[in-house]
Amino acid sequence: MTSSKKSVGYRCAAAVAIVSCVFCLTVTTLMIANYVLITRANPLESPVLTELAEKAGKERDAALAEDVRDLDLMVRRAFFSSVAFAGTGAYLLTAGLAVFLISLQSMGMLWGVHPDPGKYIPDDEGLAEEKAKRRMAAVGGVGLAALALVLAAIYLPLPSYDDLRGNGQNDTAGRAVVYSPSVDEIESNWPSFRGPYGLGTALRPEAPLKWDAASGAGIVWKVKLARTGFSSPAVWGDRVFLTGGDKEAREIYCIDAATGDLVWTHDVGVVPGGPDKLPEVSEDTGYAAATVATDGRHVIAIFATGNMVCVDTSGSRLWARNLKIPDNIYGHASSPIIHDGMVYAVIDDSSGRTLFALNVSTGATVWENSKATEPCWSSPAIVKLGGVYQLIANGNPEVCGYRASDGNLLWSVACMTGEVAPSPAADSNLIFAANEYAIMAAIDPAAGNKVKWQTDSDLPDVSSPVAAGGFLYVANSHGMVTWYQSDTGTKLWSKEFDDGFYSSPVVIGDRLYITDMSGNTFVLAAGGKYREEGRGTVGESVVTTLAFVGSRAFIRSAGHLYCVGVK
Amino acid sequence: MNPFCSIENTRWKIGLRVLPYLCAGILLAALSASAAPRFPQPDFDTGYTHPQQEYPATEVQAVEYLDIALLFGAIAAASYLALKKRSRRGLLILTVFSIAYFGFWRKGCVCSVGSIQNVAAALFYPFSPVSVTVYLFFILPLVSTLFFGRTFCSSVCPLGAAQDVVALRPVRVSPLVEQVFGLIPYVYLGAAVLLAATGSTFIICRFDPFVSFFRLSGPVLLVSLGAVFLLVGIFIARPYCRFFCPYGVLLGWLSRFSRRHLTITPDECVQCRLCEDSCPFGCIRKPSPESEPEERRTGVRRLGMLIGVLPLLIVAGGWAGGQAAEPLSRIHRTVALVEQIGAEEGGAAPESSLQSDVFRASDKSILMLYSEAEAIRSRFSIGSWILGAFIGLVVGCRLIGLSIRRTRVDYEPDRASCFSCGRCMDYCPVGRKKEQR
Repeated sequence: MTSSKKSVGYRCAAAVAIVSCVFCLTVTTLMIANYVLITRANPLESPVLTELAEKAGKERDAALAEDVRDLDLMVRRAFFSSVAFAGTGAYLLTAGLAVFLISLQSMGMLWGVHPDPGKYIPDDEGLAEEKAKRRMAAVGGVGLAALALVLAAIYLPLPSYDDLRGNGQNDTAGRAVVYSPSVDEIESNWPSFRGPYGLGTALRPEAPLKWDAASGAGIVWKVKLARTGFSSPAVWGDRVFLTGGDKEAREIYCIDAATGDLVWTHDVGVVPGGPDKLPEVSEDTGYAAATVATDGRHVIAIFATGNMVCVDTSGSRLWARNLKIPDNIYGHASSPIIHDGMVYAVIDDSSGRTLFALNVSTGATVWENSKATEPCWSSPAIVKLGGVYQLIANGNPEVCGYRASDGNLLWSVACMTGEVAPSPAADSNLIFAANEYAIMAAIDPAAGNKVKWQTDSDLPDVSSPVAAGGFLYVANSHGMVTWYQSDTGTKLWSKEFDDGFYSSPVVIGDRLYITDMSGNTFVLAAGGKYREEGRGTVGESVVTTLAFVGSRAFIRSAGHLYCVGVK
Repeated sequence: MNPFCSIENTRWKIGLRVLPYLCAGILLAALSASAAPRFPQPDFDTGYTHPQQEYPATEVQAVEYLDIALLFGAIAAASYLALKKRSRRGLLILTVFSIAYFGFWRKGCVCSVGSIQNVAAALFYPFSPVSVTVYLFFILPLVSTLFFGRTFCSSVCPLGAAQDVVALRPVRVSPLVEQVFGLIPYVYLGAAVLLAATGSTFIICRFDPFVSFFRLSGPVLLVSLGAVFLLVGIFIARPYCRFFCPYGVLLGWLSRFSRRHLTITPDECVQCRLCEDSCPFGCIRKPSPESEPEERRTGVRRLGMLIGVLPLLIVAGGWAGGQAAEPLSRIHRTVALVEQIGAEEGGAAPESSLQSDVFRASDKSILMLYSEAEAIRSRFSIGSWILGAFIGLVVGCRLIGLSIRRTRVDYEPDRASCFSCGRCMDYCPVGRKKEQR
């Protein structure tokens, strides 16, 4: 059916089309304006309301609080009215568009078709068009290929998971080639809790024998620390690293070992994945109980929040991540340790043990190992057994040895119980683990994980035992210091001191250093007989373990860091 | 004796078979109503009374059967109207019905276009459940196309129907532009299958430009996209169908072999040329010229070369597609999460994301996440190669197709691209004369 433009039907359809078009445009404009209103007037993001609510909360003003509620109700009513308007507008617009399109289609049908034969295209023009079509099809194909290559180029490649696991640049053994200090460098410094490998022994230093903070004798310098903490000092070269923390902030400090000057402070701040609320910790543990680990280029600290931060020696952050939010009654205390380009951290809490091995440079997980255990506060140590470097972790109920390179559990002995805080010791291929209310066990992993000998007297509760030169030394918070022959467990002697020991004993060369909670350090001859060779005191409480580098020792007391030795 | 066998009345049989489903539905609704709240509600000192918790009613299975029945009926009606009755008006009425039911009433879902992804996911992901309804929405239009051409596109597909009604002042798109843009549906199809098969996302559904209109709400970007398509569709008819629809690729392939297809003229073509510009989609093919415009030898040589180059195009396409595997794999949420966590831990991301926070709060180890992401990346490596090779094959086949001369005597619609909308029928004087008789 065809019609002219002057026919009644066509005119009616045209009129309806015009009216509906105007209607649609009006509704569209109103909806756009309404949308702008909705996005701007979100009641959840109203700065006025937020400010008033905070003010009412702080001032505890009931009248203001009521005003805030009324204002909030008004804002919400307005918001939802706008939302309802948008919904109604959608229906109106749909109806308007339907009428508009129906009227246009009616106009088209009433107008009818008017065929036009079109321009005549001769054969050779058709050939040219065909050639052009082939060309464009080829252009399209090339364009798509180029798009794929551009996409590949502009997106930085994802790290391969071998890289993230530390196997990206492999040495001949297939391990990641990352920075790792030499054995000489490790043993010449104090890179972590209880020194090289976390075992509490050092062969190289020529440690001081006497000092007295009251008279100043033997005190090279003394500095006050900004925030409290129970982490022990770590030392590399001429830098001493410590952590401090409280509810306000958690910090890493770098102090000049020669002068005591504060070189830099790194505020940990916000770490991705970190807890919104600080975990509960006891006063004896605090937020900065774990000692820093360093390899001379990286300084790695972990806090009670489970946040691990790595900075370089100038204090610039390299990476930070939250390993796990520790959930135990005292707070996290286990210190990390660095070995062969990896940093190891143990978090033993109410959900069990998680042992992390991270790439020192990137913080990426190389391996992770989980185990069902009770909460512990012990720090791992690195021991070479049978030619393999093992990570030894004391725990409840098991003492475990993991292959450091891949986290494989090589052996475990269930012999511990209670709140395990002491870290393991090692000497002559024996591993020593102890805890109050459990036992002191000498484990021989090479002999089928047999406990070679054990004892249940004079057990340590916080302080970690140390073994060197065939002897094992144990100190506890009751003031008892006991000496054993390490291979047989024969008790050689024990002595009760006036004050208890939280600080772990350290064997430096042929001397044993033990520091009581009053800050008195006893320098004893290591070996079979008791002989005091020196004594030092800082005159204030010391619960941390001493650090020794060169001819100096570094002592962290309740509020200060001391450097003792020859000036 | 089995009561079902003893009852011969068909209505009773159907009723008894439906009854268990109805009972289950009622039971589920009752259970839902009586279910205890998942989290305890707080007690307010002000004596505030909590509103009664409401649960959405379980959708009755019969609605899905109705959808299938209506789909079948609509395709049958479209085929009848296009091929037998040759009524453009009837197709237009059916178009309005499809927009109303499949579009607004059923809110654009389930649709045949998106069903490609469900089927792809089911093929490669054994755990992906796909209902019979979705399978039928995928298969029915394909089967009907084999018999009657793309009558599904003419007035049944709600996406096509929405565009068809706004095609008011169509202009001719240059065939050269069509050649380039005509590759997009193949890329879209390949990408949709790849992403569905790898469990990444359903991009056809995510970027459906018309679903926000059918649902009367949607994200601003999607509403804007739909508005753009409809506005463009006023002048460039059915832009989504011609240059994006992935389902149209499958329909086009099958339509080439359809048993019957819409014809411009009901009888013999009188070569009047009145229908030449009648198709807003440029689907009408003219009769072949009497004399060959170029030497046969030239054409044969070119064809041979293109056939020889085809394997190279497939390999080159595969290689190029393989290069895009990594960017494409980031679409998968697991790979994206690994990248996000890596950026956070490396200091590149200033703060953590919700996804990374949730992951860290879970019991899943980072190693497990990395392993999953590795497996996904390797699937993308293979899939991207296949996608690229597929595109290379398509480009090669297009070039070959453009080099093959087809002998046409009459004006006829291109079987692959014709939507069987019936507009051209009104232009044919032979058809009009027959109608008047």
